[in-house]
Amino acid sequence: MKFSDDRPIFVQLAEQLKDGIISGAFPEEGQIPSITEYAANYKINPATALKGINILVDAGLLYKKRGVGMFVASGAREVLLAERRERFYQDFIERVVREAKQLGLTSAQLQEMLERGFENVD
Amino acid sequence: MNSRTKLAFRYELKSLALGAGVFIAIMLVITLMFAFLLPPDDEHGVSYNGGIFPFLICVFVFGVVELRASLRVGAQFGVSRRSSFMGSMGAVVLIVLGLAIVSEILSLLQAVMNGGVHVVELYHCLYLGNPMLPISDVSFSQHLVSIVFNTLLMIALYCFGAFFSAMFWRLHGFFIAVGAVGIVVVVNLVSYLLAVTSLGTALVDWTLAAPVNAMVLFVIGAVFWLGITWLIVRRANIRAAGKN
Amino acid sequence: MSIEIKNVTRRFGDTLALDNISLELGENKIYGLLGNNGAGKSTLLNIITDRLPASSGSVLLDGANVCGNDAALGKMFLVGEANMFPDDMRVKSALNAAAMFYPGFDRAYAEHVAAQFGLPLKKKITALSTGYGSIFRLVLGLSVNTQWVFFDEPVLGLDAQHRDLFYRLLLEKYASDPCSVVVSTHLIAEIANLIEETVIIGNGRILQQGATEDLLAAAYTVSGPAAAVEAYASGRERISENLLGGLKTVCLRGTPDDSLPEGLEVGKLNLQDYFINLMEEEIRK
Repeated sequence: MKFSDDRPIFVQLAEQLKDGIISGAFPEEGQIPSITEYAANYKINPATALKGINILVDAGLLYKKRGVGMFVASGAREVLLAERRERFYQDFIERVVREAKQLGLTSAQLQEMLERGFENVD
Repeated sequence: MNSRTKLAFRYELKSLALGAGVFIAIMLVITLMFAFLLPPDDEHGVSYNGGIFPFLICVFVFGVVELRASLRVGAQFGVSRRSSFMGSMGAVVLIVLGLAIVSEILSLLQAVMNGGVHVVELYHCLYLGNPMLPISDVSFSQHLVSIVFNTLLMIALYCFGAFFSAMFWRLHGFFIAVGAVGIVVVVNLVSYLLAVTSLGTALVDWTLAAPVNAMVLFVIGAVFWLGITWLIVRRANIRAAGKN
Repeated sequence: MSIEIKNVTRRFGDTLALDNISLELGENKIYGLLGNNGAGKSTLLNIITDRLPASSGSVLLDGANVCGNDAALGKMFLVGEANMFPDDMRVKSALNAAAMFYPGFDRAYAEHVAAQFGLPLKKKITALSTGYGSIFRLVLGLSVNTQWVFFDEPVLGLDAQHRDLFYRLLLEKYASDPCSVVVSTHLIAEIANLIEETVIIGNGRILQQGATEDLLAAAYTVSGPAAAVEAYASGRERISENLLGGLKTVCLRGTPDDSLPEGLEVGKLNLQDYFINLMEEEIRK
């Protein structure tokens, strides 16, 4: 995984975990890689890996099975989807509208584009 | 004596034993060669004085080499200089004693097998009056004294070798030449003084008067060279040998 | 458990290699000791492990001076840049010796790791190439299991694959068995994500030290039209600056304002860039 410079690594790690839960790469009640595996594979300090994982633990998305490892909590996917939907407006809509206004597109033109997108993009 | 000193001792023992073993093997081969290649000759007596001499040189070389080697390995393995030093010296005493015993036995072996070469040890030569004394006339207790004599002499030489090594380890460039010349000058000066001054001749007479006197001299020498070596080494920069 | 370096100074003739260095190393962290060649990294590591005496000052491990202290020295292991073993010694014998001196030495692990690197056990140490000489010492460092392990330029001469393998092994070991590690290097990009605490040395002095995260959070870049950038940067502590045509980039200490004037862009630094900027600041001083 390539880390970018603009956000702390533990934040990027947490985002990747969340992406994985949503996409199904980390299924609910399934195990995620251990701290050691993250550290050794991504060449990051274990403390950093732990910090990233703890973000999800604190949000109730992961839980620890003693002696075994970290597991995805049931319902985590739904929680994350809801969270993403909440943020969708801020993360995407506001940006799209801003850009559209810059380019001089009307609301109707933008909606037409959205329809086209729903049809053609999978 | 703490545990790390004991470990240094065990390590040095193994390390020196290997070198000593190789040397003994060589000396054995030479002894056997003498036995089979030099036929007894009643007209021309061949005398081989001081079978200990090759051993003396070997031990001096050990001193030169092992000082740096033991401090380096000690530095890598978390052993303080003092522990390295003391562990080494303990191993040296043991190994050198072994070498002295072997030397004595080889001299006997030489005499027993040959007859053509008249072998005498340094101690016998110096203290038993007759330098042509056949070795079969030397008593068992005199052999023991010879062994102790040789052991102490070798310890002193090892310490001198260590000093040699330590001195050149710390000197740089120009001063190495100064050191080398200095040693030659001092050795010649001391020899001259021993031969010429009344104090010098008295000292030599005293030494040759009784074996105990010589042994005291050896012990003093060992302590002296070891002491100076320690002073040189205790604040030295222990660096690698230069390659890899 | 800690190592305290107190006002350590070291001279070599006329050169001042270390200038009044004071530093505290805490337990169970990976430290990065960063600096250019000749900055004093090796000198410092040699003084900590008593291979080299300090001209003045002292090093304490758990409160006790390390000089001539077997107990303290036995808790540390330095993977140095050069070979300290006798000429005729083979890799295997060195492993035997290490097992003798370090009760925690994991012989099986050492052989396993040696095999992974392709290090021949029967070969004489002095016959190894530069790369394999380093690898040999790395194997020792990874297997010795002392409380403190210091790596001085561990990956010099190693190809990309072996470097990767070393970092992986180091992290695996550290994650399963926490100990205190100090890695000194001038290859910063590779090591940046491994180290929790950073110590930057230049010209024998400590320039910066602290949690890597904190150091990077306390600096930022601002770029844009030269005049606007200058206006923004005036009155702020400047680390370095760069001009490309009309586009200026400055590196500033502190945290950026919440909103920036039009046309200016804020950026974060990675460790290598931070280091380079810091060195430029040093040169200018």
